[in-house]
Amino acid sequence: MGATGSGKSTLLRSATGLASALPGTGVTGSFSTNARATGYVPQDALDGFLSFDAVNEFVLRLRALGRSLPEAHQEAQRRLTVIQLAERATVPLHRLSGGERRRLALAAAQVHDPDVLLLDEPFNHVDSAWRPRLAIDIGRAALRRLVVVATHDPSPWQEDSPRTLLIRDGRLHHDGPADGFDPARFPEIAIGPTAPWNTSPRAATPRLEFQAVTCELEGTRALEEVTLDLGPGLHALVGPNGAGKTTFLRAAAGLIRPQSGRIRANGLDTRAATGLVHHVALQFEEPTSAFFASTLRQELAFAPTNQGLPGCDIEARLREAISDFELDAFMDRHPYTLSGGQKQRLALASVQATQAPIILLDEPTQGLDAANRRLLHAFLERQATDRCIVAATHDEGLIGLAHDVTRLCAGRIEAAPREVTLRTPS
Amino acid sequence: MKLAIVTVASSLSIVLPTPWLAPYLVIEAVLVLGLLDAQARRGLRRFAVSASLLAGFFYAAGGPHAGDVRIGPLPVSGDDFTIGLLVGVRMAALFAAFALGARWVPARDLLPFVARRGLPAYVAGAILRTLPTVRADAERLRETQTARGHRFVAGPWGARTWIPFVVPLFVSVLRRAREQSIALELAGILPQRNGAVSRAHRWAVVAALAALAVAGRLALVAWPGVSLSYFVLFIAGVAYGPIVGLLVGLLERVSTDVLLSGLNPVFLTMAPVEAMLGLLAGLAGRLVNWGQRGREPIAFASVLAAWAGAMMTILFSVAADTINWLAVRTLLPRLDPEAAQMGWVALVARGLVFNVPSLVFNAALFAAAAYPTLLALRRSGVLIHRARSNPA
Repeated sequence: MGATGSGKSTLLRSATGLASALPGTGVTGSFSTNARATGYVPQDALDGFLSFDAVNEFVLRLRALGRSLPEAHQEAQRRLTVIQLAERATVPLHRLSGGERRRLALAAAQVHDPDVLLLDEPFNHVDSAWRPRLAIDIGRAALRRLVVVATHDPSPWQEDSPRTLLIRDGRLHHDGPADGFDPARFPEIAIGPTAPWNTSPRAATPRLEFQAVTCELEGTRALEEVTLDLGPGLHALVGPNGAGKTTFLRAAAGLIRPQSGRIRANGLDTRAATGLVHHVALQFEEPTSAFFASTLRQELAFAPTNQGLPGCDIEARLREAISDFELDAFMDRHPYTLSGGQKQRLALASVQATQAPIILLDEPTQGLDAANRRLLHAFLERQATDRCIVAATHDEGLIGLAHDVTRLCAGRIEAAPREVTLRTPS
Repeated sequence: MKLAIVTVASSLSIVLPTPWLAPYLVIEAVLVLGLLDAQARRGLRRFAVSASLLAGFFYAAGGPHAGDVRIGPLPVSGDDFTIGLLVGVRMAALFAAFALGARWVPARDLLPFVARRGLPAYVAGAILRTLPTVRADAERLRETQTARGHRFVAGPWGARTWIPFVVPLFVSVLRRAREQSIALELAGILPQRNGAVSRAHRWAVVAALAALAVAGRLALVAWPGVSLSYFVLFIAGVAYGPIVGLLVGLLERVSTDVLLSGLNPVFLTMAPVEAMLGLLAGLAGRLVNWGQRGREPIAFASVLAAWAGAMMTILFSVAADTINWLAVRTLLPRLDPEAAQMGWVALVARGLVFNVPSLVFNAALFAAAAYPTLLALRRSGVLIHRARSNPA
């Protein structure tokens, strides 16, 4: 465990024994292990895949173990059934939902029966139904192999885990038995109860309207007859993995054209894509694959520049975004050199820099430690008074703050949003 | 079976005598158009028209019977224009075969055959596996930039709007290759030799760049002679050295030609030419030490890059036509007697004229994107030379 940027992911990569042979890792020193084989699931599950769909991911790994092609296919199908992805076997991996990718990555990393299993934030993007199941699977795996989990949330592991390590600023700060470990002693991991807000939406606009929207992706119906009218405030979008939350957000941002129905963002039809950047900002699910500039400064300035702002206004927006998400120290670094949590902050700051009245967030708390979650909550509290914020999330803390909750299931709205209510401190 | 049909279709497009060409094209077009979606049909139409006109014009310009008519400064003759149009029709027939290949032989179908253990199987399958990843990264980058207000314009005239997309695509694909190399070694597909630098990383980079080059060629296949693959070869050579450049060129050409034309030996002869380009780019990169210091004046770097782009186009054109000339003289003198009689200088000169649009495109692309790409790769950390791994 440890704060964002403390060195958890670097430690896990180093423990693979391979990171030192790679460029840009800056790993030095010696490493030794008597493990016959190691399994590793990186923070961005896509980075650990070797093929382009789930069935070939297993087939390739099984063939490397010497299995024949029919045997490999049969075994791949069996494993896909266990993780309930048999029906998604040939869907391109980048089209799987974040939680589905995580389940697949965990199963694929164990194909060669490793002695050591290294898991970086294994619950990222995983829905509440799958979390206990994955925790049991990982617990079972730990009975016969060494499992190291980097996480911001120790609760699922505390009972079974024999040992807890805490890293602070790249150094081992605490190493002791998990039994009796008190997270409250360490502010960087003590998430604690979320403080309720004392604000409610004040304005009547902006509005995000879905009118009988149906979207198909690769032959699969991702959204079906979705009708929704959202005003200012924080709206939580919840539902199991693969329910269509990310598709909802991409459609709202004008990146997917619905097969039928109409989406209006702040009164503007999203099919008229020009000028939408003034009205809608989207934070993507996996921040790493969404960065494109060579420095944080360029990354943050991209949208305001496209909005046609003069240089002084762009500077003012950058200052605000940098201050809100405490990115001052990294401004001239390449986004890829940041830690997972820092990348998430940069993605959120990029959204902030657009100052769009409609903000769409895809799993905004992923990879954030306790301090950064507080930062995010404070930002959302300030923005929710006069902006429409839609957050697709599995984070119960964030759901608890939302003015209303919309549940998607298999592309349909299962529960209509609650009325916006004024929240008062407990 | 599908691979065999595509091989036959592309072979017939090359070796059929001229009188049979038009009926063959009609039959092929009917078959292919029935299989293609609207977007591919548009690409085929665009290619057929532009290839026929370009070939017609450039074969006519300065030909042996020149002087009947003048188009601007160029003397042309009606006979040569007809020959040129026929060459264009042959190219259109070939493109129709390519379209059949792209429609019928998706990477997914080829993958199980190369999913075996060891380096050769990995190299054969890596590009097929990496192509969808490149596509996914490209799609994500395009979406991200669109969501932040950037407007992309399709076609060569909108090339400038794609520059902010090209640079991060390289960085993204190479970053992912670095991460995947860990998974490759852990899964035992490319096991690490004790104490050696990461072999998996080297091959993952080659596969990623080759897949990028394949995507770059397929993306503009409807524009005759214009390709993004030269640019990828240049970056591969300069950033990772001559051997990587050579391998990327070789694998890119073989992979694209297998995907487009089946196992047609005529196309595979072009693979050494592209390998040579990658090798030369690597050697040039060592001489200039480009992008390593990050202090070169941007204007100077842009001019140098434009020159490199133009030179690569010229080199490819000359080398490819030389191979064509040798092949036609030795293998096909009866099938295409007019081409067989054409001198080397005439063939190379016409090839160069045909490649003028490609030369202009490459010079502009290299000038705008080569230096920013090399700098971005260096800044992102994916280009730092590898340290020796620690012996366990």
